[in-house]
Amino acid sequence: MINKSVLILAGLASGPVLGGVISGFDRILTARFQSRIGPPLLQPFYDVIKLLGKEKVVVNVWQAFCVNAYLTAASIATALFFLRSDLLLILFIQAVGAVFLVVGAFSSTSPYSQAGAHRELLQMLCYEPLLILISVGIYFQTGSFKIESVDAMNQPLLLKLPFLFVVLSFVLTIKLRKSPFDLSTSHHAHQELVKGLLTDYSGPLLALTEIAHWYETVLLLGFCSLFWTTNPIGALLLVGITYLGEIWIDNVSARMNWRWMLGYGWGMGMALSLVNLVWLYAR
Amino acid sequence: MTKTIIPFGPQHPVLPEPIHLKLTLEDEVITEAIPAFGFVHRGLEKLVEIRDFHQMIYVVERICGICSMLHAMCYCQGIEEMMGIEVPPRARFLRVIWSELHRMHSHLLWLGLFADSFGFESLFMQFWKIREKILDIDEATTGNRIIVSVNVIGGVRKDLGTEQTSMILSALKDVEKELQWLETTIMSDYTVQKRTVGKGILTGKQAYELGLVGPTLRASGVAQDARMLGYAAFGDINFTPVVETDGDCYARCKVRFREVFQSIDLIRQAIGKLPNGEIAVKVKGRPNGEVVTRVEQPRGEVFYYIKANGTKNLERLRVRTPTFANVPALLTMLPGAWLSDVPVIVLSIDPCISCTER
Repeated sequence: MINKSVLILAGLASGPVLGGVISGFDRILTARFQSRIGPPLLQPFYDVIKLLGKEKVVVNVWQAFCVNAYLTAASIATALFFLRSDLLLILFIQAVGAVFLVVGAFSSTSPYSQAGAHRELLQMLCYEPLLILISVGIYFQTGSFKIESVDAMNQPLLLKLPFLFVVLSFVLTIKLRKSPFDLSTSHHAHQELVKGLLTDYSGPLLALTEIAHWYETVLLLGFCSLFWTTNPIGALLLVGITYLGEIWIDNVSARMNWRWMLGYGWGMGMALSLVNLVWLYAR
Repeated sequence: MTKTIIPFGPQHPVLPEPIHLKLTLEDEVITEAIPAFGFVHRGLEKLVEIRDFHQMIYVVERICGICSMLHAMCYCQGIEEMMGIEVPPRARFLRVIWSELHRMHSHLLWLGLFADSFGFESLFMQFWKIREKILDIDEATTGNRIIVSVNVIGGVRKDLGTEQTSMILSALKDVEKELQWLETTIMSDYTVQKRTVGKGILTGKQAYELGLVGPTLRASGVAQDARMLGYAAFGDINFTPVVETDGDCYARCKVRFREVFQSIDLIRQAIGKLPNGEIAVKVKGRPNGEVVTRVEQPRGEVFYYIKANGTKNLERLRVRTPTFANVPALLTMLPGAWLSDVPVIVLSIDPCISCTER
């Protein structure tokens, strides 16, 4: 019981701590890719603290509720991951949180916000089926949707599910809001929708969306680590290389549009997933 | 289908300067685009009433930072023509060198902004990093990085020594090498091509009939460039305008990218042929009469109408800037385009709002 409480606490603390540090590394590495020095490692924390200290201005009450629901869902999903719970449960809770973020953006009258929300839905339409297919692949291999069963594996999942790992990297690009898929909102707001989905969020509410995003980052990188559970160093290396790859892709590609994302995501993602699943099934 | 109206600008991260576009959308497809100006009007043309014709050089240099040297050159050229002043050959060649350096840093600035418009931030940074080298040359040769302020009526105020010309040639060699390194990315990258090829197409006929100028016109296959008139020393060096035929955003990018290399070549030619002699002649008297003069700015042809009445103040100064000529292209290109392509299409004409509003 104590053990479980510690895991829950670790899960809840991972977003605001680990997520922020990962974001800090991301900014520095991105800056180096762009021939810049970049901000200090702790800059994301300074930004969030500053936002939390600002006056709370809300467009409507519903939007404030949606942000809190998004943060709650993201933190619960991460805590459940630390508890090594059911993969499908984690994914659905994460999806519910993402839907709340979209609903919050739709509740605003800003056309930027609305267009961003619409694009976020399209992104979800693209990556959610892929996440389910990845979970199905894990089920095929372990016989369970429980993360515990992945932990009990003798061989890294990556060796059995290489294509599904590629698909997961694709999903990661969308969820981390990196080029070519920073469509609904982007970190720097240099796009046609400015901040898109997050246009009408400011101050403490914007800080909460950032913290929720950190939770999602930790959760998805945790998902990546499932592909190498036999050795913690191997898992760390896999996660590190994958994240580095994401930053690299972000810096060597232009932003695409949602039609390309759907075509590429469904075409390439589904094809790779099915090939891997058929191979597992046939074996 | 429900229509959405998006106010694009005047303050928008994608836009380097304030222009307002009222975009009407059906889903994410634009059905109508109405531009609006007037956010940075400073009334510079009216300053002729209180500033004398020499002081007006400083004013026209500040119409726009990026084109400042060419504004001043065009203005001085007009006054020189009106007053019958023969500019020394060395000054004419020096004007070519600084004007082409200006074109280079303007195009490099644009290439960076263009990359940023389709979300390629690292490419944006690389172009701006290269641009710094050109600004360093400007600073070393004129004392200023952007508003170089070298033109005077009758010539130029700064000269270039052998050491400085060697420094320019050496720096340009580095710039050329770094640009060649970026060429594969800006010209052949899959994602860049997906975002620019076939976007905002203008046929040669459309471009000509709309009265477009500069790279926007030349990307549609029309070989029109004010430098062909041979002003300054362009008549004494080999110059052929860069032309592309596809008429889309990619072609406009290609024209500007190739023009940077062309500017390097023109500067090398000008330095190679730089004659000895005076850099300016003394100006006596006051201008009288009227004149129309034009030069090729980075964004296209700029047109100056100057009217003088023999007093120290001009009677009228009128500037027609390239962006003013190119804005109608947006009304043709934007309807039917996707919202995601708006920044790319708008940036493709290289809008300079400070110039346009003055």
